[in-house]
Amino acid sequence: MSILNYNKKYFPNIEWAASKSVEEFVEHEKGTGLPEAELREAYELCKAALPVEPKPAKKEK
Amino acid sequence: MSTNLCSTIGGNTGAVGCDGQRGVPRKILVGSKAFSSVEYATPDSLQTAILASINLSNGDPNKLFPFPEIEEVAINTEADTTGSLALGPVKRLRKGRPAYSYSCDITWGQYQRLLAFDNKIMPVFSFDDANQIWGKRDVMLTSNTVNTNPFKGELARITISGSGFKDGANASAGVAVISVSYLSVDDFEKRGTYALLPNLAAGDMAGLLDVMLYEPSAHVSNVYKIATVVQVPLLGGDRNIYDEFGAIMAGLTWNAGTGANYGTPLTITSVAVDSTNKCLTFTFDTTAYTALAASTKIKITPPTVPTLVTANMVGYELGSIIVVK
Repeated sequence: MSILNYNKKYFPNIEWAASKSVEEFVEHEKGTGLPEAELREAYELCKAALPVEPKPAKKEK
Repeated sequence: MSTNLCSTIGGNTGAVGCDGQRGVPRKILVGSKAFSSVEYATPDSLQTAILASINLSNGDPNKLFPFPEIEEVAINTEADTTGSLALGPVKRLRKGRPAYSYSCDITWGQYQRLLAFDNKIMPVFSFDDANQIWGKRDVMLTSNTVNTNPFKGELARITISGSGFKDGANASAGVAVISVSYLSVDDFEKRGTYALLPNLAAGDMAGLLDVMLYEPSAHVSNVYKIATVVQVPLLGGDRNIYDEFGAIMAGLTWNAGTGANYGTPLTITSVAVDSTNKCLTFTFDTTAYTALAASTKIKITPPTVPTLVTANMVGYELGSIIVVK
């Protein structure tokens, strides 16, 4: 589990957030009391923070 | 062949320059940690290992518990037991075991926490006023030398007493008394050993504070409020550490589990600080939470002490909490 430090007050689970759509994420996290705009921003940061898996090496011809 | 064994009883008795001797104890550490020869290879590496052992979570077999700083020492070592036949010379029948009492002027809350160690037998390390830490060399099967054997505390019975009302006349009245009575003369003498720690001060080895978690308000579906306090004996005086460490705690990885031994993970989707209620807001994954039966117990496990130290939250250990759906 990786944690995103959003605004030093809200720390979402990056992997979980990235596995959801933005609507699902916002709906799920509204219980935290954060405004929707901030939740959407946190979601985008989670998506961006998720490590990109390396592409498989090209096969030699 | 000689007609006596005198030359084979012992070895040479020379002194090594600058060898140490037991000084005035300043601090004791209790626990079963055994330092390996790699850990005590240098003073710096041993110092690092000692501090790391203090900053472990309760239940870790390598955990060391530092006691308060010692402000008075009383030697209670028992006298040798002697006897003699009617016409014979006095013979020593049994060597007296080493025992010491340490007075510490501490608060009521710390005294109550020390009571957990009352009348317990535990390995004890002693740090003295000559920057030496004393313990014993433990036996290994493959070798028996000071330089490669594990370095352990000397086994002793610990009792905690004192700390009552003061009498207004004597400074020693009302202070806590920690008595350390060593079980084995052999451990203390023949196997007794020490390490030099020139850069370590007694005050560097401080005990941790337990932080209790509780729910300040009922949960709303899958959203739980968890507050963090240090308990003190002062009525209504429990200290909420939210203002100092709320954001640090929220930004670390917590885990939650259900089922047998709480081994079934329950995803925590976020932790947020709640500045209004001075607590943390935990949100569990709705789908997994909804699938749980009513009254299911959920254990929330906090970050470990080493993780807290890395995050600059030094001197605390967070407890776990079991909440109910």
